[in-house]
Amino acid sequence: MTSSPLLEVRDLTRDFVVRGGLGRVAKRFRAVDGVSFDLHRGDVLGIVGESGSGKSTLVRMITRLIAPTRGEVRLDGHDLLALSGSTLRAERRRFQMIFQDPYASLNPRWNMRRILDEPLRAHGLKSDGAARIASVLDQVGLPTTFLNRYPHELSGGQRQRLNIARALIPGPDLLVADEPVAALDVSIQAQTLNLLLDLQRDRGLTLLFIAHDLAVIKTLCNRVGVMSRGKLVDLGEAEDVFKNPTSDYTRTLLDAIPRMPARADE
Amino acid sequence: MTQPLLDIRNLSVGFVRDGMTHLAVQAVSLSVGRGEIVGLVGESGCGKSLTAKAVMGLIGRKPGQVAGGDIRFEGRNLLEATDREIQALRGHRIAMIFQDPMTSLNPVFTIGNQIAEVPRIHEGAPANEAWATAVSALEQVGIAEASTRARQVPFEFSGGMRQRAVIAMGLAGHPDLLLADEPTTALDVTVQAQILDLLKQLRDRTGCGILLITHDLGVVAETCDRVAVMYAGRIVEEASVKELFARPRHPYTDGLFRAVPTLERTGRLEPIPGQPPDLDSIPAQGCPFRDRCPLAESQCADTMPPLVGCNNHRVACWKREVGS
Repeated sequence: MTSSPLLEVRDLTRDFVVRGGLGRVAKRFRAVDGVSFDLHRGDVLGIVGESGSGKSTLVRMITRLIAPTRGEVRLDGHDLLALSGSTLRAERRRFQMIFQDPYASLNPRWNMRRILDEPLRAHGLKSDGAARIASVLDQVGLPTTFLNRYPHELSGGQRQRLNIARALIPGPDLLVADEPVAALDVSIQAQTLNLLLDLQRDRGLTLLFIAHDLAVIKTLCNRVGVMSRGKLVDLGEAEDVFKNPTSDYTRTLLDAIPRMPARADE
Repeated sequence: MTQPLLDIRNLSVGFVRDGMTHLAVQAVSLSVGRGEIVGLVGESGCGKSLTAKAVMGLIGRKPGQVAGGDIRFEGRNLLEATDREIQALRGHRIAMIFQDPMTSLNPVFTIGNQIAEVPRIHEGAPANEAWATAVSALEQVGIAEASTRARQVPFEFSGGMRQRAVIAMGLAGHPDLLLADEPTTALDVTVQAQILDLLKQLRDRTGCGILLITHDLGVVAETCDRVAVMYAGRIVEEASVKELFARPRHPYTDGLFRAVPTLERTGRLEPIPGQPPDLDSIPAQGCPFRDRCPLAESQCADTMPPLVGCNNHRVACWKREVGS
């Protein structure tokens, strides 16, 4: 058989409590409902779903940004949910996140050098810091002459490259990206998707990728999970899910995408 | 030839910054006929929303201003109309749907009240009639139990329903011209499909003209009859939808088509190198796309190519003229 998965997610569930008047519990809302999947090294798993389907809540639990109601998350066999304090901080080096809004996720008062320095400081990697910074900048295609620039001096595409560089710098095993290209224009989106494809190919990066755009998922991912109302309703190889979706919901989603007609010259 | 419903000629919109005028819309000519859905596509900052805002008379004197051209609605130049005349048209004969349904609705008034305001103001309708119009507009956009829903406030509506409420508000004045600025961008694909269907039905039923602003080429392909592509404030290509998708001529249009991920493609995309120019850095002369263009040569730096071709397809490029 193949090696054990890098990431194992089992029965992950999160309830939110909606409060009524005077702090009474009005109702419970299950945002993520019993989600299980494995992610192997070098795989790119895309999670697709409409707004409110629970996809962001799912990755926030996996990255320990919010606590699950129940379930298990194992990274390389280690129980991530059992970690706390300094052991959690140390483990965070192995899973890094890229957020949707390339501007809101960068401190506007820090220049690029400081933004990239922070994860090195946090993970005690300062000794070879300069080399690491030069190396990630080269990988994401930003010149080192930009190091003194502030986020407002970068274009949208460059900001997202910086976010990717910041996530890569501690050398993570798993990269979790929540809608990293949704805010970008088509021509810039293509550059960013190609960068992620190259990183995946060259570094064997394992990627958990969230998007609402099925075409973006199709470009990048070899595996796909489809979420609807907190449940994973389809999961499998990308080709299979797109060609023969098992759930009616996935079929509806695929049918709703506006198609571009074929060109006459191709 | 009959005159188009909306006829924009040589429109320029500029921003004055440090005493310099930067043109964000440059010499744009575009028309929308009755019963026609025209798409205006381009990336953020290309001037497509600004064009629609100019039609609505929403460009003030500062910092942005209309720097030249005509905007004719049924032959009348809107730029010469008084504020009172514009006010009579706006919301009534010409309506606009904005991208973000949450910020275009007032959170403290009921949905019904906000829609009923349109017939009350423009037709002087009594309150009960205006309310009935509002409920029927909500029914038209497919909101179930419209009479109950009309009494709710915006936060009680989902995102898709809010956008439908905003469209209902546009419909309540029975407009002849509807300007829809990214009406489905904030919505999920299944809701988007419903809203686009709704716009097409509306056109079929009332014969209104629609200018649909979007960055999504799939939306254009499924909804529009004709399409204009904008780059850095200029229309660089204009054609029937069928023609544009079959034979894109401008290198920018071509690049966009190649860069967009689709379900049919896998693997690396073909991005357009570089990035769109900022307002400050749009070159004063020559083609604004030349720095990113694979075909550019010295002529492109000197003179902006005119938008030329036949009725069905016009392109502004020295290297890719229609029929070449």
